[in-house]
Amino acid sequence: MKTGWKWAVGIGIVVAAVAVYFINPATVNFLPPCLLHATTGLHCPGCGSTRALHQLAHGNVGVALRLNPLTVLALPALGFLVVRREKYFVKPLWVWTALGVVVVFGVVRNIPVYPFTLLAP
Amino acid sequence: MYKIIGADGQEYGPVSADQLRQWLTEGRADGQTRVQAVGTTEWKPLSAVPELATLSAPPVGIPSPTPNFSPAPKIPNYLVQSILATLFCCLPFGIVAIVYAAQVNSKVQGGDIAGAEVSSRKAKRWCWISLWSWLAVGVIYLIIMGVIMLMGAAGAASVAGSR
Repeated sequence: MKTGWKWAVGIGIVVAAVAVYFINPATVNFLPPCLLHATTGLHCPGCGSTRALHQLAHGNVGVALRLNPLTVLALPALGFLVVRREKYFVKPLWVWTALGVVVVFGVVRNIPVYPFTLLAP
Repeated sequence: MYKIIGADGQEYGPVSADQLRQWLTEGRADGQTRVQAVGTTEWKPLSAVPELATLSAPPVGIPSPTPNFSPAPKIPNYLVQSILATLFCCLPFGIVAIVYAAQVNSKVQGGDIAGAEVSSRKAKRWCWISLWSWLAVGVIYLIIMGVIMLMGAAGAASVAGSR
């Protein structure tokens, strides 16, 4: 990656981290809503992820898990992939599994029956 | 046709001279790499083979890099970016990107390097489409919110002024 891009990404991450800490997405109305949720009322696999990050930043892991367990669980995995990206070849089965988890999660969190309702943000 | 011994000590080939030149330009083989012409029994450094030597001669004054031949070149699969796009851009495009990311690793494992590179480019493209569409939606949303707030303020002012 070029140096300019590294700086842009680094600054972007810092700005995003500060914003996520100080802005509670659940109480402000100037953040863009999820397009899928705004148009169809359905929850996409990422719905609640910004609220979950805000809660994580304040140490409320339980609340974050309640809002979007996929985001909370994906963060360590993504961190591992970024750190080991030069040396580690992810077996195709694992990538397809990740895809399956995202899709299945996106479906079941829209089932309006307990216990699936726990997965909705 | 030539066989070569990679930095990992494994024997690769036989491959064509053209393929070897390709590896030379990619830095996966260099002048020190041991090669054997098919049909002979002698292993010699690549720089000693006239057909290949022109490309392999290291520039004067620059030490030859260590051989780093690897049978599977690293092709980025953009898996991390795809998942981030799915979780935070909240549009189905992220899912498309993950599908292509998965294809990259499947094709690399199957030895289809050219196909993996095509999937890699597609995964990258869908990550960008996802990001830009999210930004576009965000900007449009902010403009609409701004207009509504301005109209609300103007309406409140005119109500106050009419009293």
